[in-house]
Amino acid sequence: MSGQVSYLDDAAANTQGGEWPDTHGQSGSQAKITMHVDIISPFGYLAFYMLNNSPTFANVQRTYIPILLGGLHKACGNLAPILVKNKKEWINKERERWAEIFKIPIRGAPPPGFPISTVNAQRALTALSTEVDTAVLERAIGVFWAALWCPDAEILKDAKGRDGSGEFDVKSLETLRGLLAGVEGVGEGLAGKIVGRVGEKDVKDMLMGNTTRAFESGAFGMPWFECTDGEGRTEGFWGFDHLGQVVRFLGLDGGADGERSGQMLKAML
Amino acid sequence: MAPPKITFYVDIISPFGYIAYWMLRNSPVFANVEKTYVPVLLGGLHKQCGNVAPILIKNKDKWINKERDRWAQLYSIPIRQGTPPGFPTSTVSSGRALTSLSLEVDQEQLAKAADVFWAAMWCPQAEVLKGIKEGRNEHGEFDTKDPKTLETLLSAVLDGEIAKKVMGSIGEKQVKDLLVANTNGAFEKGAFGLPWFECTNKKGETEGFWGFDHLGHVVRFLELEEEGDKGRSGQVMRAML
Repeated sequence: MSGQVSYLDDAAANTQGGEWPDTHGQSGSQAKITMHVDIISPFGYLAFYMLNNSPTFANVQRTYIPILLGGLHKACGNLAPILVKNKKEWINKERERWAEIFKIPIRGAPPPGFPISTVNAQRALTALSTEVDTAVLERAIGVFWAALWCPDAEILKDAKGRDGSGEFDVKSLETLRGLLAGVEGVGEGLAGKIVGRVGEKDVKDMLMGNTTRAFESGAFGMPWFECTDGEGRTEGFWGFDHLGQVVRFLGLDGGADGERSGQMLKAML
Repeated sequence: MAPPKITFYVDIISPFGYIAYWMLRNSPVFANVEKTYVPVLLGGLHKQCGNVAPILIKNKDKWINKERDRWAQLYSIPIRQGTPPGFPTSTVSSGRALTSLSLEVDQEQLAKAADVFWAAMWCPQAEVLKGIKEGRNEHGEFDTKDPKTLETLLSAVLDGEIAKKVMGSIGEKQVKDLLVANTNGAFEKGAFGLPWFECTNKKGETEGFWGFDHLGHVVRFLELEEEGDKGRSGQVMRAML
């Protein structure tokens, strides 16, 4: 083949001064990420953890939208990875690799009985999204996601509703009510109201509508990052393994400090 | 210590296979890696796994085009815009030709053939095809389904007698069976799509990695961070992912 390797020369030039290509997004309005949420997805969990905990994304305006991943897959004619031979084993390994590199707390094997229905949890989050602001919704999502993928997580230390083996049955409305009640900004009263609304038509319809819009916006799996940069340009990115693309598109390379910068984050991918 | 090794499966149908192959062939990061190219049929692999080709999944069908452009641009990999005419086309003949060739020549020669086959499908304007006048249709395209075209491509980079012999043998049972066996072997090693990198590090540990977007895993596992030279090192390459 041609033997040209110019692809790295630019990067070399840009690393000399410790600076990375600053494409766009540094000036202008705030960078935005919209991420769809279904707690069934382990890679969604990893991505959500990064968006909420990595200083790289601290100044990004984040919006979370509850959907049903199964419904999205169906709309696309996509298959869940666990239905593909070899990929089923690979995703477990892949999950561990990323969790280890980025030090994300996560359970070893998938939750008991996986995959389980997340319809109740997703409807509860949908109902909650009509009652509280983004910060509270984000905390509730964090608690639900951890209940399924990291029951030993710090945020669940005082949570009630574990079964005999220390697990949270996230299919159970009673468990979900208990988890919600423990979320700062929700509390017992609202938790009861939310769980009571899980069967309501408007909640069901809203979750369906969210899922349909996710499909219409180009998503075919999770995590899906709909990103808008400082200049108002929007692109969709798929997968935890593409967070580098997100960082580059939103111009977050120079954000945060030292080893927590977007540049470092990219180098770990 | 033994050099790090990558076994890489080849079916020229796969655009991400092409850009990954291009990196293995051209990036100094992989210069000291012992590479083995094994022809397979991606369709057969997908079938065994119950996997669905990305172009059959709504939204993903558009995303892969965008994704291909993003990586190709970032790494300056020469590639055509859009997909080849009539895509997806059958790559059975080219797969069998590479399989037959693998019985005749060493890996370096095999890679030369794979270079022109991949480029014929995904980058007809590539440097490596510049000197090849014959074999293009009126649109400048190579019909990679056509054994005659494949023979022309092979003759350009290999001994003409070998090209002729190889193309004369693609209907033979031994060749057909070996391509099927290679595909089964990829499945047994854990592959479910392309590119699949079966990597063995200096300690002799082996792991499989999937996808151009996981080249960072490959670099990390094979400890290639310091390979290449300043600005072209594995570390810089990883930072671009």
